Amino acid sequence: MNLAIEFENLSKNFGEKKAVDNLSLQVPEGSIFGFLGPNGAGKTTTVKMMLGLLRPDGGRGRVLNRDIGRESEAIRSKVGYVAEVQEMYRYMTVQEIISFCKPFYPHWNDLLVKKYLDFFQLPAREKIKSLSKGMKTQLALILGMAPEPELLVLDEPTSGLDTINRQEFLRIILEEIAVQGKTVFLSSHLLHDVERVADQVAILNQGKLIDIRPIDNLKTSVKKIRVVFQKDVPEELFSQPGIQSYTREENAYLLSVEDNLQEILNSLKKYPYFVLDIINQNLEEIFIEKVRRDQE
Amino acid sequence: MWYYVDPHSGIPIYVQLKEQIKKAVATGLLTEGEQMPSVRELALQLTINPNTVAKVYQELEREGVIQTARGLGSFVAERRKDFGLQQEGSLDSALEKLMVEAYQLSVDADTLYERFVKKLTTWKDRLWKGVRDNEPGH
Amino acid sequence: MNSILLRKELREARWKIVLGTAILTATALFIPLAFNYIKDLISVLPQEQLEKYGGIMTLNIFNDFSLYLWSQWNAKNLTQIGTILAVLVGMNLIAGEISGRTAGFLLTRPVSRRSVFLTKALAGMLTIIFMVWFATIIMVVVVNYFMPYTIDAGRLFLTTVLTTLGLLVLFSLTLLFSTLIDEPVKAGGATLLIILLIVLFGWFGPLRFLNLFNYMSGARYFLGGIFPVVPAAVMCGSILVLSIAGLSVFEKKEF
Repeated sequence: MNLAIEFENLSKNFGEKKAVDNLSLQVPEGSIFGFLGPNGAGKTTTVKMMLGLLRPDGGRGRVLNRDIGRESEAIRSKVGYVAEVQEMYRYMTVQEIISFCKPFYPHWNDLLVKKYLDFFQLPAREKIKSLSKGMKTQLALILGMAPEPELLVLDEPTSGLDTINRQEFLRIILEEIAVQGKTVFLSSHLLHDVERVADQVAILNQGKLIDIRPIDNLKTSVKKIRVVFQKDVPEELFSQPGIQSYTREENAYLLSVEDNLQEILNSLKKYPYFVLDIINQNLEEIFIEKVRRDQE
Repeated sequence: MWYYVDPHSGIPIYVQLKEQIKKAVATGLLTEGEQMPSVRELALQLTINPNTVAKVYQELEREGVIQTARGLGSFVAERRKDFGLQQEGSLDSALEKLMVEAYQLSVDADTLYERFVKKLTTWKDRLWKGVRDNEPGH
Repeated sequence: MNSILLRKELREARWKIVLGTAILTATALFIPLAFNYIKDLISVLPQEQLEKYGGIMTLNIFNDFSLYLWSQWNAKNLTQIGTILAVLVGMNLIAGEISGRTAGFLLTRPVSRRSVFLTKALAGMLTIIFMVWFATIIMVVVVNYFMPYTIDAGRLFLTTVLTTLGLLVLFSLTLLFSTLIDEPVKAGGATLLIILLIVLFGWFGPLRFLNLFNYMSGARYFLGGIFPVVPAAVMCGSILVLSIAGLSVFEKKEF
């Protein structure tokens, strides 16, 4: 499988603070990769290293098979980037910023630009300083997609948009980038957006990667089990692999399970019980649980 | 055909979509030979990852629910007439599961039998209606 | 160097270019036009007081129009106004992108940092050269064609080359500070502080050689006729060294 992004022990310090700490991950070409983490986890720092705005203090990174340190310019010609609150030249009009960006790139899709200017009803002659936050985000998306990038990097792209516009935003990314087989790297703390479109997710906390896997796998293997036994059961039952933690109230247990679900269920069923429920976890619940456990 | 997925449920999107399509085929909502929407169409319609839709189609094809003709798209497959070993296994395990469940609910064997027959009667017409005409044995 | 970027920089500097050129040109025209007026004014003042405050120079320059023009232009107004303009033009170039938070946008385009920096340096230098030479040429043309004086245009131009080089040194210094300090006004302030120190050095005998402004006025050439090759070369070298320093700071900078 070809990789769009590959990090090996990537690190970045700001003084004493380890903003990104030995981050290793791989993003396959054609995937929508959800990069999750609470605020200050190091997501933006990672994105800035990918684009050459920050230099790593350690490790290695490759984007589209090019080194992020030495071949940054070549990477940027094939990467579309939409930042959280993208400040653009305020004195330029919408049309002027488009004409400014176009000559930098080897490809530029004028039809796509026109299509989405119309779609978003962005006034071409309006100055950027008079656009709303949401309109700026929409313009940044158009500028990010126009060069027909092989990789679209989005850093908290939807935080300036309302729910309806966010869904629209995601649909456009699917239509113009994902359906074409291009890669999307979506860094966000808005789990709803990621949950809808991502096929892979990584969870970052305090600069460290705490989990990375396909989202389906995450949802199938991370569960809670609620079990109420009829009699006392030996404590060893809860020390088997896959049980991350549990809470107990007399003979009632709530187990946090990751992997080995079937084996765990089978061993629990050996003891007579009143209740045995498997509780599904959505991304938000999994995320909160993982981050909380990591912080302990 | 309208599909619906809840991305924020604890059940993976691909499982939800796959179950929905299988059910639609089983209940005759989707008929044999009917064309399925393309991966692209369905992904955009539901605002979900096209890879997820592709995965669902691949699994449905492996299970014989749909058939993909290169360049033409995916179609609802003919109902399988051969009843292979693998299918036998999966039917057996589904039945076992039913019995375990009944035991755990403290339902005795006679009650389970009664309930099963009752359920079978109501579902028979819905599920096997179209098939019966094609199979001379019935 | 990048033509799209160059256009952007010149566009951003356009009001500075217009106002700077207007101020310099107005000054350049005022100097020759005021010659007779000031000469008359001075002739009615008592002689001793003039010698006490103005020195011999003040008297001499009104006997020689060329000398008057040079002393008021290269040795005074062009240097002073030019210095302010060089700082104003340079201080925004990098720091303005950072304080306006547009650096992240610019630097994520496929363009090298070297190209960004060199284009900005070029844009600033072109701006300064244009303003200085537009005003100077207008002045010489007006004097030679519309006034009853003739001046040695060649000598004045060559002196202006020295003044321009000095202004470009100050501009390069400003650009370096604009790269080091993320706030345009602070970057400009820091540069002015350094310029103040240079002027202060100029008052101490042994450090006199450090005073850039002595070379910028081109006195040795205009009065003595010897072109100061070494100071000119040192000024060129300083422009190069300051620009390379700015470039290397910019290339290592994190955004």
